[in-house]
Amino acid sequence: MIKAIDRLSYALAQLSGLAICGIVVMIVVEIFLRKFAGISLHFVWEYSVFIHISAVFLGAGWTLRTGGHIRVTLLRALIPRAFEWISGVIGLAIALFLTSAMTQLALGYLTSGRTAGTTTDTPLIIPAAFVVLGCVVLTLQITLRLLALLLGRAPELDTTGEDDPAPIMD
Amino acid sequence: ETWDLPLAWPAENYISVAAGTFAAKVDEATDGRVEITLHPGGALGFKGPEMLGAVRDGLVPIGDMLLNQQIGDEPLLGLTSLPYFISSFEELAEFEAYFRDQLSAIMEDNNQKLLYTIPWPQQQIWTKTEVTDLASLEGIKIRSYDRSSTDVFDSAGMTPVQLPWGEVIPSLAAGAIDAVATSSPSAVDGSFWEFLDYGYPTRQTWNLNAMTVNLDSWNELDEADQKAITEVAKTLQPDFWQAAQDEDARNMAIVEENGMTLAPISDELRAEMAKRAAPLRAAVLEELGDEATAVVEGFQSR
Amino acid sequence: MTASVLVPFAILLALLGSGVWVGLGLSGIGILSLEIFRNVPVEKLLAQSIWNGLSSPELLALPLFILMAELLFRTKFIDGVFSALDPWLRNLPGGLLHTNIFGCALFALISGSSAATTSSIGRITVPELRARGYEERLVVGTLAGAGTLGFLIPPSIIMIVYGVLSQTSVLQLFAAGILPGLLLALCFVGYVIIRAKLTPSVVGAVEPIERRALWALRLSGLPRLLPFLVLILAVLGSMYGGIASPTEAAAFAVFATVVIMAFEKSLSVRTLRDAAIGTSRTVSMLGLIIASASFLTMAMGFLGMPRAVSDFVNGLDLSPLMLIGLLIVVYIVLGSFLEGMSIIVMTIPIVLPLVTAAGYDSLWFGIFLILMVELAQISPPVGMNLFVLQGLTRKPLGEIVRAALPFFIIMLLFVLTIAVFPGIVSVIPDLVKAG
Ligand code: NA
Ligand code: NA
Repeated sequence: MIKAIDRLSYALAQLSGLAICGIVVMIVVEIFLRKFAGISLHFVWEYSVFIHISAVFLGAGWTLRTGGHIRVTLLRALIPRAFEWISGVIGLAIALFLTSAMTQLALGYLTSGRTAGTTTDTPLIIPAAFVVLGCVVLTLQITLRLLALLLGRAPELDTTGEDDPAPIMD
Repeated sequence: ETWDLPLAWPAENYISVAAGTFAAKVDEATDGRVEITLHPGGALGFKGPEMLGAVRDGLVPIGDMLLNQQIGDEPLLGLTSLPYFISSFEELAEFEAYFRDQLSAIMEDNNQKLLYTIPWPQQQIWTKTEVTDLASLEGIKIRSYDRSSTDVFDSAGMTPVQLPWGEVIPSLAAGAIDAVATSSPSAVDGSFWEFLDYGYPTRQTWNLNAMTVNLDSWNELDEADQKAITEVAKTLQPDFWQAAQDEDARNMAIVEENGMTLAPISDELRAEMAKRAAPLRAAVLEELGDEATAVVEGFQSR
Repeated sequence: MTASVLVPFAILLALLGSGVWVGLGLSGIGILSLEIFRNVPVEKLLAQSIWNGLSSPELLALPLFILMAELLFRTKFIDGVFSALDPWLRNLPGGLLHTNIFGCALFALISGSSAATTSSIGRITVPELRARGYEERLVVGTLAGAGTLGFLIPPSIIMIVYGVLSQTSVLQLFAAGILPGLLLALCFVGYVIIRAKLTPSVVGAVEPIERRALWALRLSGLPRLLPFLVLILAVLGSMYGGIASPTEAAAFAVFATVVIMAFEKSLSVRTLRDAAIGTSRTVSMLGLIIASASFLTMAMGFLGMPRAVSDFVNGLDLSPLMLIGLLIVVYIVLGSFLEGMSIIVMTIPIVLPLVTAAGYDSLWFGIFLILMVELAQISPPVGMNLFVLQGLTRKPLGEIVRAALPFFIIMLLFVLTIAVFPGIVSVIPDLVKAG
């Protein structure tokens, strides 16, 4: 169970990173087409924005699992176990609220069929669905974290999923 | 009651100023029972396209929205963006009068009451080179502001480029784009004379804002206050339309003072651009459906 | 009114102190404050402002430069940067600490974001300086200070936002940032030199090299800087050569990085996957914080926080310099718990009229504001660059704050300097205008 959710979180993080690479590809293609063929791809900015917002949430679960989300650890040394419990429970409460809020937003987009309405007709439910998926996985990861605390296991993985992680998260 | 009013425009923008005037008059007319607090400059984080939904769902009790940004929710609100449908500011005013009841109805469907409308000045294209005929437009990389304008410029043989406003000035300075389509206040905001030489009022589409109030908040007021506010809105609207005209005149003067050449586009060129955009307009209307076609035809045969 | 200002602040201290993840905690403060003080649909507001906060095209440069940093980290040539800079800087008191400052200033030429500047340079320099035995505190401090140059040295995303909101020419703003950026970098260099002179132990081991051998090293190292220079040229060239807008130039820089990697044969499926995961983790962490911060900003707006501040200031009837002094205090308070972009968006409508009435122009105020935002980036408890540095070094936040403090003070003195001598800001824009 934990393994399955970790694997899902990892896959989503990979997807989110690749999606950002996709932004690069789109913009570079736009630059060359515009310069040399006089063609401009009108969807690039809007799609990029949607990819970015999706990517932020799709990566959130794995980032939590691997200790990538920043927090103030001033009091951890004082009361290590209670600290993890308190932050975990508060985090879970906020994550649940957030997930519920984003789900309602997405449901609103789904039922109204609302589109971006600026340059493309992208139905907003598409990026919103990714956002909700990311929120759900984030919430699951916090829940599992509390479970790990209960079972006395380490709350975070000791790998980031990279063979050679850049020191930004070390 | 205290109503928080988010405004996507800077505090000095005439639409924000108009909202301030409205707020003051409402305060006066209701003896301070309705107090509207302005949050200009996007300070509440609302950006525009979500405003119809934001007022509908009561995220804010009152809101100012650019109507054609709301087409994701209500396609009919995009009618002023129909390419070359409205040819002058006067015609825009006539259209507003013609469409007013339907606009109120659409707003009511969205759980809000229409208070007043306020237009944006005419759309212009600002270029580096002189524009005389279609050939002189060929291949110009122009920053367009929405889907409709993008299609229009495309049909005129230009290369429309979508860029966020923040990227426009550096791109212009560096030469990544050679022209911008926007109205005169934005031309002044961006000090266009630093990079561009000509301005032409192409008026391909129009932008119209509406001030609406959430019906639940509205219904909490007693009848006298409702009537007083409606009256204030009705009295002020003509002033606000005039303010838009004045704003355009003022900014055109600034642009000219700074050395830009302002000229009308010839009737032939406008006719030709409109002709090129005709299939586009038909397609948009087709997509909008019978209701929109009825409005357009009704207005044209008024 | 005072309750609706003080209670959110108390909630902030409690929530962030609890150790909850900042990206969630900031939302929590907004949720609680609104639930307590206002009768509004909090859930809907949260969803909408998170959506709006992240769907801003101006933000796109951030993931692009993060991806670029991830890729740069996996290139071979970046390892050579140190050996190339080493012979040039080693005789300067403070030695390779200056690579942090020069590196950030150079990187700021291609990056419009200060967090990305800090992380891009820091991830290269921190392990190197650690390995050479430099004092950790000064390593982190120079990075904290110089990283914020990403905003001040053009291009700068935040300047563009300010320019649009305040109706100030963005090009003039860019020009206005150059001299203050340069001077500030020199102040940092000066501080490092003084520290190194006073306490030589802060500097890592430097073996003496004979003069002629040193010059040979300097020259032979230069080609190793070539890919870095190519990248700067790719960004500047694509932008000033009329090919790309500033954000597009960031994507172009990523593309150029990939091309360089292909040349030096460091490109593989594995590097790409690792870069993707790394990017995802950083983008996710920063994105969640930005989203939450934009909701918190909205909540503050609903609570009338900005207005309370402005009313207070207006009532004081101050002299221009006293007003600036007071603004500095206010911005430091705001900056301690709000993110830079939010501070700008929230305060321009209130403060700009106050400042222009006192005789400063909007160009000067722009640079002042950028500096205040830079201070906010490195002031606790909420400071984006502090978080980046924490991620980078895995040190406790308190230690990073202490390390950043001297640089915070230098920047503060610098702000006072431009308040007394506004010419520092206007001289280059005036030249540009005249020419
Ligand atoms: Na920069
Ligand atoms: Na701060």
